[in-house]
Amino acid sequence: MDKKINAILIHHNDNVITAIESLQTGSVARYQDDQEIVEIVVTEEIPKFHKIAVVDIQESESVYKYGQLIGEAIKTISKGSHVHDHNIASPKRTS
Amino acid sequence: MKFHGYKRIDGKIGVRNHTLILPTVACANETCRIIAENLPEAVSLVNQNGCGEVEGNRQITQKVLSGLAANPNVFGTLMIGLGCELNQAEEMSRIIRSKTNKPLEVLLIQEEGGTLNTINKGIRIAQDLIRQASSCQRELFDISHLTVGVECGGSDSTSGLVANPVIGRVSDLLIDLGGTVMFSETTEIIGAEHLLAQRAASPEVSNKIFEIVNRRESYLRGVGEDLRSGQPSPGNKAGGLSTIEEKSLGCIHKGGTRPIMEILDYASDTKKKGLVIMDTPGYDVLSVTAKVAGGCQLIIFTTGRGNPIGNPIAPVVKVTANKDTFNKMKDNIDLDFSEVLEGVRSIEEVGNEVLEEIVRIANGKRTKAEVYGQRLQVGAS
Amino acid sequence: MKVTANKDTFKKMEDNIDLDFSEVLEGVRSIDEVGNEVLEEIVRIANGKRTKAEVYGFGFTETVMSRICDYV
Repeated sequence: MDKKINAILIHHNDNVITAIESLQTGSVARYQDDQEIVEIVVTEEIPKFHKIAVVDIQESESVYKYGQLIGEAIKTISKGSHVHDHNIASPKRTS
Repeated sequence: MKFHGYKRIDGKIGVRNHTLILPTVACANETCRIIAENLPEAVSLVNQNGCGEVEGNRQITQKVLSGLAANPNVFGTLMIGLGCELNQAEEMSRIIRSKTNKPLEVLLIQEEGGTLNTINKGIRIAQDLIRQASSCQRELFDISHLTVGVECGGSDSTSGLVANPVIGRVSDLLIDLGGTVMFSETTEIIGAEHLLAQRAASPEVSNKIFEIVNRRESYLRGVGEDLRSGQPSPGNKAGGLSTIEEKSLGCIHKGGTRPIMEILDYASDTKKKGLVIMDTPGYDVLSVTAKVAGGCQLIIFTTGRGNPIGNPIAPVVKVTANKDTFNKMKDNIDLDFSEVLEGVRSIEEVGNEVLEEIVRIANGKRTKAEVYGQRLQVGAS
Repeated sequence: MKVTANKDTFKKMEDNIDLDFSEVLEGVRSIDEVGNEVLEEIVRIANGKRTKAEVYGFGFTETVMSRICDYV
């Protein structure tokens, strides 16, 4: 564990992480998942405290943070890309 | 755990010893301001209401103002009215008296014959109240006498990642010691209400959680505001929050994990111990005012982007987990939790220390908002 | 600029009221006459003469605005 983490996975079931520093395109996001350190390549500029997809997320698929539903993808989101209000929106209400 | 507080004649315990100059109506604001400016230890506030309002709004004005006078941090109140306003001083006195028997004096500008006379007489009356207050001494009380309000404002991703979870830990500790924690901002529960409902102490509480959220959301929809597109705010979004659900999930962490005992109407007080939620809008100045009107002696305010606000009656402790924000706005923010974000310290560790700082502030240590002597708009809704 | 035709009010609150029209109520002076003088006073105030509210520096806490509904 000689490289510091630069992103946080809040809950094991989340499909996004939150960068704790700004990340350049092509750099490596490093986060802790239980006891493991996981690395993924960042494919876009990620501003500090913004989210990164840790897997591919299809359009209309659920987005999880805190182990809870925070939104739905409104476009296809590829692993390592910036996740924000340009590609996710509130989940559609059933009521 | 204990703190040093002031016992009021109504039995409540305050952490400050204020003499309040209270305007019944906006027309009395300047008079109150000038009286307070002539007495370093008096506090006053701006009341934009008190006349030209429908009955429902007048009742809200009365509820908030009387709640502020009844707050345990207030030793006594000098209330200033004009004389012809809808929010008559006589009725205000009755309402205040229904909540507390603490000192209450009243002056009417029209009766006294103008502002100069009222200011003169008001200063004379208020200095006597202040000297009475100054003879009160702090005594030792159990921490269970504390009702702490928690607020989040200028939220960004660090709020939900660290700042709110740390305060959630403080909330749990305080509740386990017998105290009360109050959070509000119903708008910022939207998207997470089902999680809170799971922790309701009774089915009535659970139902009321859904009720206050649905009511506020449909009310705003009725005036053309789709909360789910209007929130998060531009500042929230710049700070990394993408949806109202994400923001709310982050927000509710500040309430910790204990059962929810009661859902309070706007600006109402509680007799319960434990975790309670007050139904208020999310607008911070308003929400803080409402919680102080509901009896909170102290407010903890988590911020991601930075916020300077205080309150004339209750100390507001500002905390952030965003190191840049803390460095930029050190003048206005009391505590920095960024070491938790960096993985250097744990939420539990910092939470325990924050509880000790809360006790110091309850005992008299000034927050940054207090030390600058800020006065604040009431912003009654 | 504050004005009243109520002599008692003017006497009681002379500190805060600029002009007294009670002589019109008493029939001593006409509305037209007093109206013309008030216009001249308006010009003096426009030119810089301070009203009573101004000279005490009132205004800091006296901004109120309508809302269409409750806050968010």
